[in-house]
Amino acid sequence: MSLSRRALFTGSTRSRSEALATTRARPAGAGVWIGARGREEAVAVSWPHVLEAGFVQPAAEGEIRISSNENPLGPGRAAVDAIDEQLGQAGLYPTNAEPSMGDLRDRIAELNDVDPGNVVLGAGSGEILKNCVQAFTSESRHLVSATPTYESPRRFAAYLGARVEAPRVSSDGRLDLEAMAAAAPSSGLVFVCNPNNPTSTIHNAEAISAFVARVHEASPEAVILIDEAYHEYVTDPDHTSAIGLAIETPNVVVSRTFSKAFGMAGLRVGYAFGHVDTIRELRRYSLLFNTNGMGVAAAMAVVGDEVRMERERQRNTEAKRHTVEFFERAGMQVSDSQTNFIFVDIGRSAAEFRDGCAEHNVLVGRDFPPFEASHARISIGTLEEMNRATDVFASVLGVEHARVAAG
Amino acid sequence: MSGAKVDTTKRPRPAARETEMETSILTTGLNRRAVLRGLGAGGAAAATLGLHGCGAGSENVALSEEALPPLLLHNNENPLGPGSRTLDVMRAALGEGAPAGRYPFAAGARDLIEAAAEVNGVATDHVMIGNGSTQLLRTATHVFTAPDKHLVMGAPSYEECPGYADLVGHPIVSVPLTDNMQFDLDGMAEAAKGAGMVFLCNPNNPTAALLSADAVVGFVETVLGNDPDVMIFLDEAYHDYVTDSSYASQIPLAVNNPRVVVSRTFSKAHGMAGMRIGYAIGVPDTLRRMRNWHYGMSVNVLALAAAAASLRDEERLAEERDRNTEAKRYTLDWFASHGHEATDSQTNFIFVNTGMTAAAFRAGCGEHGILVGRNFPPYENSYARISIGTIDQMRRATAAFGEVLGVSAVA
Repeated sequence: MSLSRRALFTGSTRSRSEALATTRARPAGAGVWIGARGREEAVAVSWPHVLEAGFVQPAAEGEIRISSNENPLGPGRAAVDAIDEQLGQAGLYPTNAEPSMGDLRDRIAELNDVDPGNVVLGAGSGEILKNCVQAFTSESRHLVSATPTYESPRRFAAYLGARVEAPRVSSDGRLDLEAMAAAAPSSGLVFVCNPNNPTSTIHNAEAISAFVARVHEASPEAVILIDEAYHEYVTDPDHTSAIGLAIETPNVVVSRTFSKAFGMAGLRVGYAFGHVDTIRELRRYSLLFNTNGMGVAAAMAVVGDEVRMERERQRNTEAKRHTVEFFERAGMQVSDSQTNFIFVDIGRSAAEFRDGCAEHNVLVGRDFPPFEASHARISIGTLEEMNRATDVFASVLGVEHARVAAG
Repeated sequence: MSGAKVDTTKRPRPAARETEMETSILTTGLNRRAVLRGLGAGGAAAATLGLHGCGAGSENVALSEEALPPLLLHNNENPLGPGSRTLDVMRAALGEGAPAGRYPFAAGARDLIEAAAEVNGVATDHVMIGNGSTQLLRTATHVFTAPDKHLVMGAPSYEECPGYADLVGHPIVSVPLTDNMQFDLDGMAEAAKGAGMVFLCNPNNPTAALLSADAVVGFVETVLGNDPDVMIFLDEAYHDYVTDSSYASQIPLAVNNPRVVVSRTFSKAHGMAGMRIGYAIGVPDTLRRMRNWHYGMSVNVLALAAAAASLRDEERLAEERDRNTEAKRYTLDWFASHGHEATDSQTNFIFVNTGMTAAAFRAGCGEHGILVGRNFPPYENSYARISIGTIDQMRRATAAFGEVLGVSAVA
């Protein structure tokens, strides 16, 4: 079924204004929602159950949301057209629709030159992270993570009663692979976020490969989960993906997502690679129909588009350079970002900075202990958004701001 | 029950593995493609049935040159998909694409939670969202059963909970249906002593049969009277298709009883199986226990918007129920006129005694490009589960069924 572009935008006025109305509130801590146009417009509805579920606070009209490492442009025209086309199959399970979940898995395998048996899909890579924790940790097999890193594996491990060892990152913000390897013997799962969120730094392929060998020498049964959510944004020529390593080495999983550079955070599609035996075990934990039909169609439309990806990487790199230069001129240290966010030593608490920015409708990242007293995580929006945001940062931080012309 | 010799002494393992296998086959797309290939081989036979099964004509010449699309009557999907107002809302939510780049907002979830609370007359903190109701079934099984707290279910029934319990090593007690293919509520209540959770699918999949409101309430009282710590999970996936007036949703029970949870899905009457969204209703503390383990970012922004809109579109839901009832009536009449008995269906599928194995019937239908339901032990030797499509699709289907069953295609 093909739906015309005209149809796409007719009859939607009412829905559009309704949608806007519902995005005018955001939580401001303790589950209380505050009208986004000012704290005096308090909606004051308590929705802790929604926030508990992990849903992200919405940006209201006119707000710059650089708090969740999203792609400000979305997935692009080809994905929108693919979804438009796919709406006629919304009634079919994602296994029955065309393209199906299986088609997406096969396409990902083909593009990466691996077998479909090496690939598993997820409702975002978040589902894969959770499933790894469930499949591979237990009360007797602990999780090795880092401090700080993406928090979700730690949360699920705690629920299962699995111990968590999370060595602090090195002074340059990079994962302390030495300390993590030392904590790995008899573990069930080792979580390596590379590039790391929130510190934005990477370890190169050689270091990752040596780390895997070292962990497996002591504990061959420990599964090493390498989360490459930000892989497409990396510009360091030293970096290569660990997919090849994962295919060849049992008990290594590499996860990827469509939520970042592909611009599909709202559509919930992720995937992972591994040895066929490891993936077979992991698949047992997958939700029955974890990827929705619209996400599958959009992913099929963008997954092989290298031109679009190169454009997105350059766009992000340029807007990031502008932002990093602002902080460096202000004398603030920024870690070497290989992602679509930066981690900056602002010399004051993240909460204070966040509240100050929010006063000016700029939303920045959450606390990342133990750096919450000094560091902020700031996602990279469009260059225009970053121009406006750095004006706000200058005012909040009380520093001089010589704006660089957007080019 | 003609021809159905049901061995009630056997306690069959739930068919979860089979479901998984079937899913994995479907995931590869093999099943669908095999059907298309089958059409190539038996294409002439399929084509002469015509799209609407209404005899030969010049149209059929054209049809024989392009294969008919396979008719999917195997997963209890809604053949029409979402209503037009819901599609408009999805298009608006997608806009020019940028909203798809943002994580599902709390506002989107709030919109759906408000709609679910509103149409069900409950407070918003009694609602929890999932990736279809299947994720909620899995979460509940994880949280409420344990290695020493078993799962109780009637068999056959929907396989998701036992499949998950089996995966995590939590024991399962399956209580066979009665001779009338009804839940053995006495047997299940007995089995529930010391259990972690009882799973009750009402109307039941695959039998399409219904428990009255009185029967469910009485069952809950008995189970909790015996053992107040048991959870009772009521899957009301087919709620919107029920026409029997003895039925009532148990949402009012779930909002007052911390041991009862009701799940609903948008995959059936709302026509959004591809969108992956459902919800559960229970008391806040019960839902909080589930949320502690639940993966919340499993639902997409378009589904949140669509589900809220679809819940509020009661007119479309009523139309869909009527449409299904009519197409089902046609199909049941066709089987009855050929001496094939079916259960009293309160869903968008029927469970019918074909007098042949489900496998043989499925293979025969496959030759005609029609997919029908999987095996449901212990009825796999005589019963088929057939989803209800549009009435035109059911005309095409019954023409094929006639050939497979060796009866005249004209009733």
